[in-house]
Amino acid sequence: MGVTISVVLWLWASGNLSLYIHPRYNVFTVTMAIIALAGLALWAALRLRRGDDEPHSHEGHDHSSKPRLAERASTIVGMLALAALVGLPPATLSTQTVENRSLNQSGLGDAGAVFEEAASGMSDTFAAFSVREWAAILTQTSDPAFYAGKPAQVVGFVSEDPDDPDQFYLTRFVVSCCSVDAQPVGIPVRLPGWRDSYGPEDWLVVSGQFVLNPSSSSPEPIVLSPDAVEPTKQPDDPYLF
Amino acid sequence: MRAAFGAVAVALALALVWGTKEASSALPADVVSPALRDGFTLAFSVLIESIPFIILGIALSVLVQVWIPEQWLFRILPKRPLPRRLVISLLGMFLPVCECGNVPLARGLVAKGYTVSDSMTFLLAAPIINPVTIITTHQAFGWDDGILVVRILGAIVIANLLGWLFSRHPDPLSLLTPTFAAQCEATPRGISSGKMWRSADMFVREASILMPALIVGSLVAGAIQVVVSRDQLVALGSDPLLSVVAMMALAFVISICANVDSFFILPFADTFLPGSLIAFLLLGPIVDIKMLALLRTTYRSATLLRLTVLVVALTAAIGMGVNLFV
Repeated sequence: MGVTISVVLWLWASGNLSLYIHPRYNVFTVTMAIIALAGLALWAALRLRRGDDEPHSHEGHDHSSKPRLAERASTIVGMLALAALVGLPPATLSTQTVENRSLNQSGLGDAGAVFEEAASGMSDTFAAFSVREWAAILTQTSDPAFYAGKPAQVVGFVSEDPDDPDQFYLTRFVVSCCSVDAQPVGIPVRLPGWRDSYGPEDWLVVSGQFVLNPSSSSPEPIVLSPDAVEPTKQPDDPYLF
Repeated sequence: MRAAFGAVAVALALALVWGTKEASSALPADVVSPALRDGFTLAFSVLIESIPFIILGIALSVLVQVWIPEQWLFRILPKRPLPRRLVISLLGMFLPVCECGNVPLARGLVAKGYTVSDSMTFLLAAPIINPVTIITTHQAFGWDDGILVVRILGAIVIANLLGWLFSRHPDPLSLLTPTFAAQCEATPRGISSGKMWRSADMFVREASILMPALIVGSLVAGAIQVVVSRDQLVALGSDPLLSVVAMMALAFVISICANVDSFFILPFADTFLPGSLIAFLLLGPIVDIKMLALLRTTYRSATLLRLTVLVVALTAAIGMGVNLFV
């Protein structure tokens, strides 16, 4: 437990805890971690104080029986897991998980409400929209007239479009509790030859307009036609909450 | 002086781990393959999400075993088994910990003298019959489709029915793992140690039993999600019977805490029938990969198998019933 808690506190201190859990749990998680550390310190202190005086209590376990195979196996697995926990750098989920979970299957929030906001909004409304909001609006209407005059500027990572090599999906993960429930959301971006400059999982800032999709192979009726594409570094909070 | 050494020892261990993390964070992301990396990320997220609740659960368990007078725990309980189990189902309202935190708490209750079947009733009901879960379920679904009501009633029915079934067992202690049963039999007589020492010792002992189980459970949960594609499950949303099966499989695999599972499943409400959502919300808090790993520290595999089969059957019946008749 000491190792796990130390890692949790390091993740929080280095700003990486949001890679694993929703920020609303940060206070609770860190508080419990500190309480556990205090408990461990108390135990260590008391153990040292009475270590020589009292014989080791045998209640509850039997020294003579050898640990069963299952217990040995779970100890080894546990050690390996802790080694990975400490030894691996903090990571975001990759496009492997995007492929594993349908894009835009869920995680779009209240699409109807976002659509209403877009229909009546001013330009700073659209500037604030992320990939999630645009993906939600795309499920509500494919009328190109709606999108005219509504510019988009979005940040996301590249994930391949299996239907059209000239398109990619600008993607983000939406997390409700912790990254185990992460749901990919994305908008189609049409940029022929994008593979010459960018690869999957590259983070980009894309500005452009939504237009009717000229593609014959893609099922997406509306696509983002970029005016500007700039690589960017992964945001400190790569997941949308 | 030695007290200070204790704190220093922990501080040194913390510093060691921190130093290693700083060094390892400089490693490139592709030091392992994407699938392996994602598997670990998913597993660690389950671990990190659960651990504060486990700590809280162990702390409450220590409180129950060391600090709370025994009469309190039993005075509130009716003598007759049926009303007693009903009251125990509602105990979660006062001890709101996530389902994983309930395991150390249930262990503490059994050690204090609750029967094995009482502890099962508590374990099955408490994750759902507690203020946090009820509030979040209401926040997510309101009164739609009876999801909240059926979740609460379903939990009470499942907990009491299974508690009753297991109370018929002729030798309840045989349902427990030998190690835990021995722990319960050995009454701490002759230990003149102070409450602080017993609390700290119990905390560390419980942690050392539960942590490996949690770690293994998290790893398996993470691994399965990389291997099994979610699309396959999600394609079954509108079938009254298969949607329930798909949602139960998802609940089993995803292993997230009961107090937030409503938010997770809410987006699926467009594609999935209400009965399947209820099945997800009933099964997840009771049996999932992580919970089974944790419960294995206390109950034998045979007990857990029977428990799982019964819970799955009851949940499926409730879910499919709602889909077909409501």
